Amino acid sequence: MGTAASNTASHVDQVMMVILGISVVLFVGIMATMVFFVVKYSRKKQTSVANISHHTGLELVWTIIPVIIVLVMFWYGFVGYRVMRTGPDDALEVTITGRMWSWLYTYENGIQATDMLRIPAGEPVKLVITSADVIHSFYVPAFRVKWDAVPGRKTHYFVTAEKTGTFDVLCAEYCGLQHAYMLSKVQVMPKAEFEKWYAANAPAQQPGSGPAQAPSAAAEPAAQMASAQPQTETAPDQRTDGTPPPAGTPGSPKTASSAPPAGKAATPTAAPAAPASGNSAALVAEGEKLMARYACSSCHSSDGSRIVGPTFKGLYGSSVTVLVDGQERTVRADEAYLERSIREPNAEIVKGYQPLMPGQPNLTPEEVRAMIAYIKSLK
Amino acid sequence: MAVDVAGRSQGLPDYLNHRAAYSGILSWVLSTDHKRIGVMYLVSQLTFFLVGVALGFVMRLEMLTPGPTVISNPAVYNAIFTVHGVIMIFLFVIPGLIASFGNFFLPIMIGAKDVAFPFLNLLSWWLFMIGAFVAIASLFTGGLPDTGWTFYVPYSIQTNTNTTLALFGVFILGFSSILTGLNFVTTVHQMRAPGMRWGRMPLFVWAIYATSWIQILATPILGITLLLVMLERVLGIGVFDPARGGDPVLYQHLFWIYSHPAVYIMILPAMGAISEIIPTFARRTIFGYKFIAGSSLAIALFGSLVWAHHMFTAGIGERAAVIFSLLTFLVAVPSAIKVFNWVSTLYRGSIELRPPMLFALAFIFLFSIGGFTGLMQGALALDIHLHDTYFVVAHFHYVMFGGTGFALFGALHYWFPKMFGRMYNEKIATIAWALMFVGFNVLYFTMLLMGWLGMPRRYYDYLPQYQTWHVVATVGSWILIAGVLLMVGNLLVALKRGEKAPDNPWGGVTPEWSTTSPPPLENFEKAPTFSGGPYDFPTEVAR
Ligand code: HEC
Ligand SMILES: [Cu+2]
Repeated sequence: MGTAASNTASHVDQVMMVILGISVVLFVGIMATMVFFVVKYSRKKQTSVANISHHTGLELVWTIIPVIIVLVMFWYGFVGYRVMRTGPDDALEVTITGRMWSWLYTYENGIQATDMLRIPAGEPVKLVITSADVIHSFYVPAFRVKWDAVPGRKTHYFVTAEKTGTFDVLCAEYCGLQHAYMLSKVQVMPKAEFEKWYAANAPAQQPGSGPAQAPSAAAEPAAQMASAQPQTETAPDQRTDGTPPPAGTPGSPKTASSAPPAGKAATPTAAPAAPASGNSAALVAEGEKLMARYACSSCHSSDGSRIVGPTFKGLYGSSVTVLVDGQERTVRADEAYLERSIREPNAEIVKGYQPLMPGQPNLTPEEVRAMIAYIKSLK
Repeated sequence: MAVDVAGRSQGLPDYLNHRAAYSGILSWVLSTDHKRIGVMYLVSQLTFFLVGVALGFVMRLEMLTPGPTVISNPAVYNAIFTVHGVIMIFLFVIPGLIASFGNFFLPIMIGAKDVAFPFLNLLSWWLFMIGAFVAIASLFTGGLPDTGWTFYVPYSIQTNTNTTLALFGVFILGFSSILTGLNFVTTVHQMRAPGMRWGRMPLFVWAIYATSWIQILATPILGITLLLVMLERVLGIGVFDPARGGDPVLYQHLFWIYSHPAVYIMILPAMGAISEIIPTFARRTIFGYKFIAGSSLAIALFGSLVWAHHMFTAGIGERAAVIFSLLTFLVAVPSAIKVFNWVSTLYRGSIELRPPMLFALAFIFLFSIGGFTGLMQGALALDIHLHDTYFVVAHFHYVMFGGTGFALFGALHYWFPKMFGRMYNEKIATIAWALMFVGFNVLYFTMLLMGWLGMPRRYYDYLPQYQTWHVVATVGSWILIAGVLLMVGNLLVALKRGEKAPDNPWGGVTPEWSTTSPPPLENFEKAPTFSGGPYDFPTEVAR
């Protein structure tokens, strides 16, 4: 059995044990009876039969007893479900947004991250789940819980993590090309450690976020701040453990998956807080990684070959013929053009291509900046 | 059952050799004879089944190792599981036993010459083929559809692939299903021969009757839902896409209001066939006729009220979730009643383990596992963990393949001599059965475990910790497929070179065994009359 790391997990495991136990007993009983009859009343031994047509008493017994059994099973399932649905009003809240094909975690104080959801151990956390595009499902096997991320809706569940450590996050509702790569991690931290991290990584402009501040206290203003200025997001991972973005970034979906724990665990999505010009190599690497994560590279090559869309090689600075509402026009591929092409690809269609590219309105400005830096690097 | 068919065996040509208005292939595709239509369904369904098996084989092969194994592009894998699902669900298990054996045997079992509307029946088959053709054409024109067989919005609305055509194909298939249902309900009500009272109908007929009602009542909802998705894709009307003010959860409700009862469309006729096979090979009357017949109706009724158990994680209200969970548990009871009655039918019988019976016993085994795993998913808390993992995939393969599939193969081995007048090699059939049974469990039981460990479904790739299980499952798929191919090969050889079958090779007593093998065009040479119960066996079996 996989690690059980939360209160929900122990409840689900308990329900499983109850239903499995009853089922095994009944199943073995039925099969044993069947085999026994088949052997005992084999044609080789038995040629006279008893045409017993029915027995009302027996029928009642095996109607009523199963009804009782399934009601017991139902009850256990119901109790475990209540555990996921109920929690205190002041629980730490994290909003989880699914988007093709990554998870965005937004905390009440404005911290945003994609590759790692951090939560404290031993304390109820409310996970609010939604989607920016199609339906996804936020699944943590170690918690034994998944909840669908439905666009236009917010769903939620409560979980109290009981074991510290890092656990897999998977997308469980089919969401297109890169569904199997919509992976992430959840890190359960000791409470004190979490609080330190939480306070230290609150967006810089946050006036009241001293290191010792409890998360819930800073929640209100921070949340407003975050929605007003999403640009202020920081790169939490870099600050706390100093991990630089990994050099061997997944160039293709394949490598991404064969080494997910190492490659994916501790990488921040947001660009480093420092100005882009400061560390352009890191930004380019970040951009390349994003291209793999959002499956851009399944349609765009970096070597000059044409896939579904035009290659990125030599794109920056070239002049591109595009169709705008059917009118041909020539534009220079500068940063503004690239940003438009990524966010609203169908406004200007590159001549000779189909309008097949999915729009990416939900990318953060940092992500777009990194992608553009990457395209610029392909001369 | 005592059947009076005075004057048979005067050598009327059987339906296969009957001279019709057309010859060659036209004598089939333009025939309104329910038996020929049944055979055409059977052949087309089994063909689709083999295509689906081939796709399943490729999928399992891809899962052998993490990373690309035989498919280099996830889009291709996504298309394969979509097409595998669409073919297996809409072209194999939904028509299932009802279109093939239902067509062939329903009229015979109630002593009728044909169904109530023979021409409509032929039209249904044509719609089936046209729908199948359109769905398959969607593969070769434009992008491969990649939505999964459930067509969940908003993905199915946003994807650039050729989903509209695939949806249209399924839409047409729906009409075929509705018309067949209508035809069969009317046939049961209007065409029963003298003496064929409701309480004397073979249980297969009861199952077909209950199923037909579901087809008539539930399929239109699917049709309308798919039509709305098509309109939304083509005209941009906002019904389901939240970006246009629609509600994606509404789609799921509508989809499952049909598709859950569809599970019973698949399984009820299968249970009907099992209720025929077991008494014949135990040579005694069925135990609890009324309870088995009644539980079919109960399943048809309650099965229509549990659809939202596919949506516990989708953010439906808590109260709704609790009610649907409760109803889901209750619908398990009539299925359990059937299992108890089948097992009791073995008590003090005289049991012969020939291929149809082996399939029937395997059905009870596999279907029970499907049922118990269904209970696990009906439990709210547990479903939150198991939903959309391999556990679900394995569960519905236990029900639909281990259940409907094995019952269909059992029925095929049971009625093959009657339908084609030839016997197959029983030894090879038994080996094929054993391979399928073992391979099936190696494949799908392993998938149950993987699902419990958190392996999500519809994944082109997976985390390395699941690999051992994937290897075991893939090996299981090879054993299973070897069994399937052996079985099909055996039957094809029998069709050409099999020994001539007697009229009643198994000693059955339901009406189909009192006509010739294969039956004449009008089923009985003279209109039969019936007396006594459907499963009245003599108390002594001649060895
Ligand atoms: C399904 C295939 C597909 C995917 C996935 C895709 N694109 Fe595109 N992209 C296209 C096509 C086709 C075009 C040309 C038609 C157009 O302009 O819309 C294009 C055009 C572009 C252009 C303009 C190129 C030029 O030569 O002017 C840019 C920039 C771009 N895409 C970036 C991206 C980025 C960044 C991503 C990932 C977030 C991405 N694309 C994902 C298919 C795709
Ligand atoms: Cu997803």
